[in-house]
Amino acid sequence: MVLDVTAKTKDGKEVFSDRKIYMLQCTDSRGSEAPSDVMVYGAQVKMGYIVENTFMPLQTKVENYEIKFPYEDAEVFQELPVKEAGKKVRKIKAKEMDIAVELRWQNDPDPGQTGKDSYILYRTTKNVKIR
Amino acid sequence: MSLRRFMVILLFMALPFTAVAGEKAKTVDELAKMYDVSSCKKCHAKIHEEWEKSAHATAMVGTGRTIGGTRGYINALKIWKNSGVKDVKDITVEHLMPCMDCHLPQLKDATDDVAREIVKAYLADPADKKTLNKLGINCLVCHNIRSIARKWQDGDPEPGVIYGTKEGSHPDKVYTKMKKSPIIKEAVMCGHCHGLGPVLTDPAPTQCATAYGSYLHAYVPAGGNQTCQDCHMEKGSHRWSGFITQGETVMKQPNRAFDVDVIATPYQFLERPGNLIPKTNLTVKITNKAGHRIPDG
Repeated sequence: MVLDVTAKTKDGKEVFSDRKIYMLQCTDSRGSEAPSDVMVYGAQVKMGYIVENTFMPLQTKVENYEIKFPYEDAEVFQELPVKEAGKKVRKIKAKEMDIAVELRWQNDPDPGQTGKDSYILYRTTKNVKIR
Repeated sequence: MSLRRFMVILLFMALPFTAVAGEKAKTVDELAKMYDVSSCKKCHAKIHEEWEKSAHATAMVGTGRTIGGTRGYINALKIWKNSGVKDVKDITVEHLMPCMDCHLPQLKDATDDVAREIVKAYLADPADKKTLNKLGINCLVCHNIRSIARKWQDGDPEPGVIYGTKEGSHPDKVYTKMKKSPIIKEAVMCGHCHGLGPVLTDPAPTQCATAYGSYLHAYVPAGGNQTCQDCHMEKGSHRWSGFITQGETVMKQPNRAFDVDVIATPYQFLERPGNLIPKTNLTVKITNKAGHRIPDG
């Protein structure tokens, strides 16, 4: 399972992107042989979990993100009195963003073709603005 | 030729080649014929059609990963110093059973030649899906081979018997009786293969599907009281809806497995006097409403 969160400004510029992968992560549980801390694939070698971050039944998983609107701090000279010259002023470059959230199941590390290799279980876009 | 011997030969010719004969299949085709379920279609057309479209029908190929996984297992057999396998010709039914116990339990009724034929189909480049798809999990696996869990209590599944929810006669030339399976409506019916974790009783423990483990240890403790069949065989469906191979089924019911809530709060965070950071706090809440962990199988 994969959760993608992407934020774009109205001009289409991506300002935030995050991907979380939820799956059983296994080792071969052969601690006497190095390296035993390496995740493995393959039913014939997996013998225990090292990380279990799947969605467990009847439980809610909460993910939090802090997504900044793009801004820059620029020095302003002309508009300010002489004694304040060099002071930085924050300029918010975009006050509106579209944040896309997509939860999907996929066969492989790459999403491939939707409906064949991956299935979108939930998708929404939130439009956010600051004044 | 005596009349008795003639009658025996006639009877043998009249019967399809099935597990009832008690002989081992020598080829994939013989094994497919031994467990042929085409006669089920005559009376159970809808169920047969649903099964044909299900992942069970192509359990030897799966999503494609089954091919890769089985190839990995076969190659490991050659590497493991105590497996007795140096080459494909050394592979026996016993070597394949850790995988085939679930992907093809019928293999117990086949010779080692069939095991090697299957191995060759897996190792072909590309894999010989046509041969592999002659076999799979069909009606006779759940309604005979896997219909009894407690064999010391209930006995082995009998040849010629269809196990389900009823007792009586069954209008088929080979499977002429119906008997009740004690587990057919229970979650444990699915648990044999959609398992608990690594099968440590095997000489080559495999860890494949573990859905039944999370059902027992997470779903039930959280208050869940439905069975696998309640959701995956709703209204008697034999398609076993999920989203791995039947994505469109879930897409029509997007809220069936998950509740997702997304809350976006744009504001300006005052990190310190003079430092207002414009941002959005985004919270994504995902609740798994299924009876097992996701992803799993």
